[in-house]
Amino acid sequence: MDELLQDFLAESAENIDACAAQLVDFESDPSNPDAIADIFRLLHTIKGTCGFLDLPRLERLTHAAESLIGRVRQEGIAAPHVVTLILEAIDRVRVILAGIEAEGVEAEGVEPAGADADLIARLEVAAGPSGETRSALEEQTRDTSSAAEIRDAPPARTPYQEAASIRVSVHSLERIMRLVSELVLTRNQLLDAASHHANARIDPPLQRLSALTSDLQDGVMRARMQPIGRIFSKLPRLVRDLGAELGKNIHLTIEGAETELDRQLIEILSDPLTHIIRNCADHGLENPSQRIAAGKSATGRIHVRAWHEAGSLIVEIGDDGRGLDVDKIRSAALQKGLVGAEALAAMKDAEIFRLIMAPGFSTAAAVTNISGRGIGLDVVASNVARVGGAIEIASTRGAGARFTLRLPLTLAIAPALVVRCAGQRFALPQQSVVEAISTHQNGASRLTRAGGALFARLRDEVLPIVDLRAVLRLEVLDDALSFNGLIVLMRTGAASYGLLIDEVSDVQEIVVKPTDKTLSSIGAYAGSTILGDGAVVLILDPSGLADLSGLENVSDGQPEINRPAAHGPSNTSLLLFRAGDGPQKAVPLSLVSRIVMAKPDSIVRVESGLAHNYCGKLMPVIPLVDMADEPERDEWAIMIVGVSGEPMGLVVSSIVDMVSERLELDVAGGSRRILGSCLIRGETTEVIDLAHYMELARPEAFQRRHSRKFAVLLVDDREFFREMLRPVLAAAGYDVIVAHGARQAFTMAREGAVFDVVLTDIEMPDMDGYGLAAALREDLRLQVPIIGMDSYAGAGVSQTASAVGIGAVVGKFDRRGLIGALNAALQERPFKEHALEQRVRKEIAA
Amino acid sequence: MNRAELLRRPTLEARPAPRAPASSEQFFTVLIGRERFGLPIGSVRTVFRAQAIVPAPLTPPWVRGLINLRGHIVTAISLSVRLGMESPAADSSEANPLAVGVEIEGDTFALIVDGVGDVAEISADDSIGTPAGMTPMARRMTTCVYITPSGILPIIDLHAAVFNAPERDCKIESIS
Repeated sequence: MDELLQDFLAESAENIDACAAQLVDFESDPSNPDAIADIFRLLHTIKGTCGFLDLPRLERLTHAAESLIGRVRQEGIAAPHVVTLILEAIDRVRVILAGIEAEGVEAEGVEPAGADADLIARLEVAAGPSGETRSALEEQTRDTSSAAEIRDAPPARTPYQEAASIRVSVHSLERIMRLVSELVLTRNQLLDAASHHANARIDPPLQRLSALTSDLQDGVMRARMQPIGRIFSKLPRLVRDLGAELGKNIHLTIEGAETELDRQLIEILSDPLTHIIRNCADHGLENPSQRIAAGKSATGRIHVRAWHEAGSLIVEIGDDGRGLDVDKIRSAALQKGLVGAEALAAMKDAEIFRLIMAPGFSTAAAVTNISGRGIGLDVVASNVARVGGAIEIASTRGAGARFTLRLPLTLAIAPALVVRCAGQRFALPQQSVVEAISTHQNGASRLTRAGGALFARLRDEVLPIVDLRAVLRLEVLDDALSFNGLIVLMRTGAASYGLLIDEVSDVQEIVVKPTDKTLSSIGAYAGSTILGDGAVVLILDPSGLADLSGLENVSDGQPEINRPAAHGPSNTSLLLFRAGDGPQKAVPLSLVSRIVMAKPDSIVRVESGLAHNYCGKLMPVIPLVDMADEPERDEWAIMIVGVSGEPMGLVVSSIVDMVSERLELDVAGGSRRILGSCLIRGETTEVIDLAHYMELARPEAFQRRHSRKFAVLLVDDREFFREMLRPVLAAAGYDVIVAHGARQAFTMAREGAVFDVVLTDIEMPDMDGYGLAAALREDLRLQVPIIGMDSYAGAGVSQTASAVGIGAVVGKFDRRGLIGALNAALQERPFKEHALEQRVRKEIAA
Repeated sequence: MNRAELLRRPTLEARPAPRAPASSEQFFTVLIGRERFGLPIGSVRTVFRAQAIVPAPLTPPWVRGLINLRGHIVTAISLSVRLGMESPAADSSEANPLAVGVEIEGDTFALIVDGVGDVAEISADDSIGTPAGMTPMARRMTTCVYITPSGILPIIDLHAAVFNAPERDCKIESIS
């Protein structure tokens, strides 16, 4: 194709994207003459070049569109149907341009056939002096000075005047990149060879070569970088169209369009971004009437923000809509069988949010054109995971949802962990590696087996294990539980798991080479590479390995193994243990956060009973066995329960096993200590009532019927008071979150900070306590109690305070009154059932 | 072009196949076991001794692994296993087997063979199709069979040999 024509096509495509963004800008702010002037200029440029390149069809169309924009420009008002018409014209221009590109012939008359007469006629009618667009009022207000403007010659300057940059074809850039990749490999091999034979004459230039290669690599990498604005510029149009289609008013804000990343990644990011925005517009934002009913402004907001952080690119997409509905997601996940009932009950909100990215998930009641076809978010998640990225979802009920994408800056060269397994080396992309830990701790294996699958206990998590040997069918371990090697903690978009390997042999920058079809179809490999010593190694695909080993929706230590359907979701994983004589005992595994072995001298007597020195803190423990019976014992097993908040331990004799069984309680427990008993593997087993022991160990927590400490959001602009009050509150048993002012507090609340009560200073600059209370109640629909603090508060609540929902006002120096007010405010709350108790019930009911 | 010439050809450099008269075609002959097979000469890039083959787990049995061929990573395929003439275990005995580099749909593959012969120029008239006596596996891997002065010469279907999934009922047996 003609080089000139090619340049024209590329430049016009950019111009058109920019043009659409400007149009939407203009539509939302019709008094912005700059935007319309830009659109006018851009279209004019296309028109001018069309004449030069002999593209008559395009020229006629752009001419008509330009005239209409000229009209709008001079009137300063863009009626909605005019905007639609102009967008239609621009779409047509785009189609014609695409047609020219597809034809790709050098021949004359490259424009695709087609008639635009109808569109041109409508453009002309709208632009004409007797056009229907003009109301009588506009006719009257039109003065002579603006009439003169229409005859002004369009500005002669073109929008692209940056002589400092040149166009380079992607192809030649790719070729340079490939060559640099090869150079890096060769350099690595040379360094490897030189390290065996020190040579004073060769080493200095070799060092220099090495440094230059790194610089060159960096330089080429930068040349491949492009501003993310390239895909952001399409968003205003997308959002506008979505708004029109859904009948919602949507305001889009974009920040960080200048943030750069590898062009390859820009292409990969484009679809996920579009999809998430569709999702926000369709599912997230409410209808204008719903929004008004909820006390929000009728116009919904979507924001897109990009920035660099620690070698990654972060893209955040958020809306101020209804937020994710946890209950709806729960029931949809259950109904679709994505996750078992007991695992679901144990899931935190963040984990439940992540379910919306599971394959086949969609909560939309009706299938709409925009989203809700049940495809999409899972594809988004897997696309992002494939390139070593991750998606996080945060949501506040009624205040909106936020998707955060974290992506590597480039794909071609990546740091990798070279690991060894069964005598073979493999590379693991470091992006997905969290840490590597030994299989053994203090002589005991972390590995354990439950329901035919391997798990590792790691701090407070029970982590599913992927045995690389088994997945790749390298060899079979005789006894995996006594295997001595490494667990590499991997985190990919949808799963986190431990990869069982022999050892880590190296960390290297590797040049990722795509695999051919024979290997890519397997799913286990992300590519291959040549190491410094010339050896070929396969690069493992972390999410592919998770898929191959049947791991799904695994996150934060709540293993959910892809069980065969016949197994049924009603199985419960149980931890079997013994406590002295008597029958074997069991407790639902999901309630046990970990098991520690404790020396008798680490269990001490305190005022309220026994305590174990756990991570430097004393944790209450209750012996299920009479420890005095076995004074010679040098180790006790402690099961730690209490998933979030206040842990407690149960001292038992020994852990027997983990089993996955249908839990059918045969006999109702006669004692408060057990829920009932059942037969497990032919042995009578007592299922203990954890709630009972919780109550014994943590009476104050249990009295509040809440397993978590209450959190106080403390808002004060003066450091002195913050520092004074924080220890007072902590001593009274509250978790304290501190905000330096009302605005920060509001932002924290909006972004999903979790707290149960707000304690705010009344007098603050910028926004005072009343303002904060009003904002929290009205903008965020927050129902938590709000307590005001005043330096000289008397008894009673002022009318101003109660009007904005402040339940009590106390004096800052009145500690007793402060704590009293907090307790009173929290007592009033309609408490939910004790979370732990609830979970036990669910497990049993299942 | 004889074998010595072929060995001197620049590695991995795409070069259009020499245009033979329409009625005759050129094939590069290789030995698998003791049998001769032909490869379309337009696809053949190089002949080399495979060093340090890295196994690729989970691949079909005829994929021997990956080789570093002068900075390029290529997949090595055992033709004897692919044609069902040998079991994978028997084939892996040789550490540095002889390999023919072929280009298929833009990717380079190394075909492990037991020996290489000359280039055979064959008239299209000498084709006898794929005779009924061949095993189903061998038939799928063969485009046609020619009769040459030095015996019959089955031509290997490179695309089928590299990409096609096997059928479950294929048994390992000799094609003769």
